[in-house]
Amino acid sequence: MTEPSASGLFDRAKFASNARLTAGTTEEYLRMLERMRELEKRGELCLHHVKDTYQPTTVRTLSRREKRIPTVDLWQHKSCGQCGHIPGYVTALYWIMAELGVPFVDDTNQTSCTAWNYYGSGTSNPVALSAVFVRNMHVAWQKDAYPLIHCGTSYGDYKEVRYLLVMNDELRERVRTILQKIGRDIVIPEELVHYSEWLHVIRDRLAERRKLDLSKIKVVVHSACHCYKMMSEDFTYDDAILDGLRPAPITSVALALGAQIADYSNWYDCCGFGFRHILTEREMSRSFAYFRKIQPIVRETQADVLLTHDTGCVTTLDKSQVVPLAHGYKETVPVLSDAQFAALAMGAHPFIVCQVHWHVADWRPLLQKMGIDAEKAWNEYREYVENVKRGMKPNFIRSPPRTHA
Amino acid sequence: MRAFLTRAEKARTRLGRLNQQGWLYGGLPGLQWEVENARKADPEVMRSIRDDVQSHAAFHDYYRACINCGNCTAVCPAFRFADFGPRIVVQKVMHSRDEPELLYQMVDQYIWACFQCYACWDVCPAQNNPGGLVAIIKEAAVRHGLESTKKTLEPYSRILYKLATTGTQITPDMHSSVALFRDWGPHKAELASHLKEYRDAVPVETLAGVTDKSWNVDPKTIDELLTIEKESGVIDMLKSSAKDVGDVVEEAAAEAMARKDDHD
Repeated sequence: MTEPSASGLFDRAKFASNARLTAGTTEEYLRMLERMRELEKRGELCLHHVKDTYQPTTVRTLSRREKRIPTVDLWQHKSCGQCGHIPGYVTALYWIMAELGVPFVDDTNQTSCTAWNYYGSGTSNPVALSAVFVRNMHVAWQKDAYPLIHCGTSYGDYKEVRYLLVMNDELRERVRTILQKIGRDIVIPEELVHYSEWLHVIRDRLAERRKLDLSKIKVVVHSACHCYKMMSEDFTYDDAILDGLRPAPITSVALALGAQIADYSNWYDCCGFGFRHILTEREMSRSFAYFRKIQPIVRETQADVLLTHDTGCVTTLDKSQVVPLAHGYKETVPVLSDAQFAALAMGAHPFIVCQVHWHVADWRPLLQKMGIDAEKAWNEYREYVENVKRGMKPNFIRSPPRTHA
Repeated sequence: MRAFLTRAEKARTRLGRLNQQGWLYGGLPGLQWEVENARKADPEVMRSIRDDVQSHAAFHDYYRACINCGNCTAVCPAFRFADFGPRIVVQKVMHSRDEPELLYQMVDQYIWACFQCYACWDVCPAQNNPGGLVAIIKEAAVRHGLESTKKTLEPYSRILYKLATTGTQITPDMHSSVALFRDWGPHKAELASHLKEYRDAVPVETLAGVTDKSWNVDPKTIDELLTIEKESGVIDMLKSSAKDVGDVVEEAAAEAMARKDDHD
């Protein structure tokens, strides 16, 4: 008989703890959802429902609750870190939506969730975080578009503050008073949806439009802590993906696109981002990212690419490879978001659309293995940039016409 | 006097060189210099921080009762790379009801090691949220304007200012050759030298050409954010621990509110 591996035992222990020992948390979460609906009936808040016009698809969460994921008319809750440092993240996502004919709203009336700063510096509080959340959600509701949250930390923070807003009457009233000063009221989305859950439910449509053969591409996955460890009950799992023991998004998309998935021992570890550390104590982030993630991933799997679905994870895992390589360490692997990987597979331009040149770890071997001529594509990009410099408008990715504006 | 010491005497001599009170204080290890700081701190401030933490809106959701199993510490990234353990955080919070100095022993440096990944919350069989507790202790430290907090936030001031006044935290102009992230290597220098043209060519209308914000944020949206920051006490928090930033943001908020009054 084969001895179970350490990671297998950990999987089982974690599954057991989620199934039984944390039942209290799951029950409380479900109670919060019930109370949210009661408050709606009493007129104390407005729920933004996942209406049929949003053409939802149902998934199951860790708590085995059914969650409706809207697939069209999506209000893009952008991520400050993605838009600031990894623009290919958002451009790839919009490109996919445009290719699939999915209408969306890209609004300038949006702030970041401000939670990265809160977790890093402590210079905020639940009233402020809740008011920022509800302000953004109110804008989406006004536009009759369903919020799709790009950042894992925004998604985790919004789950936390939604819980507080529903369960804490005093906090809710303080937030309402502030919102009235800016001419708004409390609107809460019935479901909080991360973009990677959307990619998960439309993965077959991505696969239909795949242009590149990915059968030789070995993918490893890092799931973002704030997606599946904060209020873990509410993230998407699927019995057909990794036996339903780990989050389904990312892995499901890579599999649907025909890539191979490789496993590694430290899959549960965070990326090392640390919120404060990545900004002001970078040696800590860098060491953790390299020695707990990158090095074991490369040694154990020889993967072609590391896919993840969050701002901080892409940043930390990618940028933390520079210094160790300068010190003579050899292990390196390109880091992309699931959206960028899917867009590349569907034929998106690696630089004009996927903006891969903003990433540090060498992506050339990956592009070559995917069948993309990186040199030719780079020359095309340079020509495009020169044309923009001469006054040409960029080839803006725009939403298809909305179905019910 | 004897020419040699017994083994027991040698051990006692060695232990005597350690800060025994710090090491043994409350049976809960931590950073010894922080334990010493707590012994010198104003008891009123310690009680005030303890009360601030325990009256926080999320406190009873984050703290249940610790069974000392250590699951949280086993999965904690900061435990691997720093002198930090989430079990210690929950234990000290638990006992701080009667001994507020236990909580104070963590405010100078200990809590700032946390990665806020929330793996501890995910695995806790008693549904404690040690990462959440750390977040609300940080809040209390900021509100109380502790000297150690001011020092911790010093390198953070540009980011605090950027977020509070633009509604976005991470921006392309942070790629400039003299700013943050120099350890991103030659690639960063390459990006910095082409930043404007690359950014101008991003094919998303809300991002193209924008370098001082993450995306193009409406001025009215920023005014709404400043109003939220003012009314929710965020600006007061900034003034306590990052005074220069707090003063500038307060001026911006006053202008925003005046614009709204004019508009009304």
